[in-house]
Amino acid sequence: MDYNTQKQCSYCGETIPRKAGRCPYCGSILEVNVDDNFGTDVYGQQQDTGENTPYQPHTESGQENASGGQMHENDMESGSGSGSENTYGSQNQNPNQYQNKQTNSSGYNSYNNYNSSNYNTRRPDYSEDRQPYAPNGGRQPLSNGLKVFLTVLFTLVPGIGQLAGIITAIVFMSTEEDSDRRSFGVALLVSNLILFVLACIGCFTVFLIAQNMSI
Amino acid sequence: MDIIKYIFDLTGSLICHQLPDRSLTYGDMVFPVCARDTGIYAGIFTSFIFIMLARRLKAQKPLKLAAAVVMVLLMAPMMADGALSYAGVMDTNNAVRLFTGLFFGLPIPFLLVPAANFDVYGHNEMAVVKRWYEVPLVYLAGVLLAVLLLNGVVPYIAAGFIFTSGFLFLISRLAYTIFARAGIRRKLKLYSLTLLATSAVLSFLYILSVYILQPIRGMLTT
Repeated sequence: MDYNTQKQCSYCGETIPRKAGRCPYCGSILEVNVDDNFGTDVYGQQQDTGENTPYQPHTESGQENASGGQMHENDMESGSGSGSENTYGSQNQNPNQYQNKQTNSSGYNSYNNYNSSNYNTRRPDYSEDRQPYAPNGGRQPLSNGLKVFLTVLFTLVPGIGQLAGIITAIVFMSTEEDSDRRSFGVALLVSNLILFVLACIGCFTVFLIAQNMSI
Repeated sequence: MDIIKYIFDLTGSLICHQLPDRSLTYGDMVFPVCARDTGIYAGIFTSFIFIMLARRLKAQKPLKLAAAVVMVLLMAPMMADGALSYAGVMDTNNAVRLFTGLFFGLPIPFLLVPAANFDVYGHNEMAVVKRWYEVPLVYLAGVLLAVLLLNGVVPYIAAGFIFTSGFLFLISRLAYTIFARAGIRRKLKLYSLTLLATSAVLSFLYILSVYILQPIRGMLTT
């Protein structure tokens, strides 16, 4: 497995893309690993002891670091967006909380196994306009009910339903950074194309039979 | 020549009623499929050739929305023509069947190719259509081919090759897309499964043709 681009789902064990927020096989919502969020910022092997040496960003504002990744859920628990005071130690009342989280996360343990020398626990500063972590490009994922409704609608209406389904699929596939809509869109496209071809062949055969019976 | 004609006719019998009065001709030879199917597979063939020549078989990025809407809406006339003529609401002719079928077939490769290669989690760099004028260009080529087919300029063998190529591309690419989307990445396995599935579909269509389509055709022609 290529650990730079892939990881293992901690629920079903399948190999999935490293940036995946949801397992495409079992559908489980996955925790976002620290190495995904701050993979471009490696600060050496210094371990966090709770003494909170301020993080020195590579850029003046730290914006580059902030845009390179996504905020960990611990940040949301302890109040994100509090500006430059958001070093790891100052965020958490219990310094061991973060370490425990890593130990309990099987996905992170697997990361430690192969890249423990670059392991880094220090948190970067967040700028004040930093947005909280939200998967799918900040959008709410499509509900399962809506997906089922759209699929049934496009399937049951022959011809026109598939045409609408193809256009809807293109719309979903064109959304940026929204894996939920994109994966649903491509599934919708494939299914509608197959249904479209089958519907056309089937409909004309049925029409032929009907025409023959009316002769 | 007889063997080639037999192969084309057998392939056509899998999916088409092959009624002579609804089919195009070259001299005294009736094309292996009806005018509508000739248009569909000529459209698929034209787009497929364009994608091959432009080396976009691995294109990931789908069509732009405006182009997709126009192309998909142009698929609707064939459905309307087929449904209305079979229902007896309006009369149609081979030219209408051919051109509506052509507009139905042209977008299919442009939709199928990115459907197989689309990367949900990554950046899709290679677009299946890169410049705006490529779509009208392909449609123009398709219309030109249809005009040649309609006027009996294209020889029977060439027409049969166009139909057979378009048909096989459609079946095999659908199978390939399903397996690619299922997460199969090893090329040998992917191609083997595609070949197997295509053979299975052709076998199924043959059985369907022998037991359903051809008896209907026999009743209609007698």
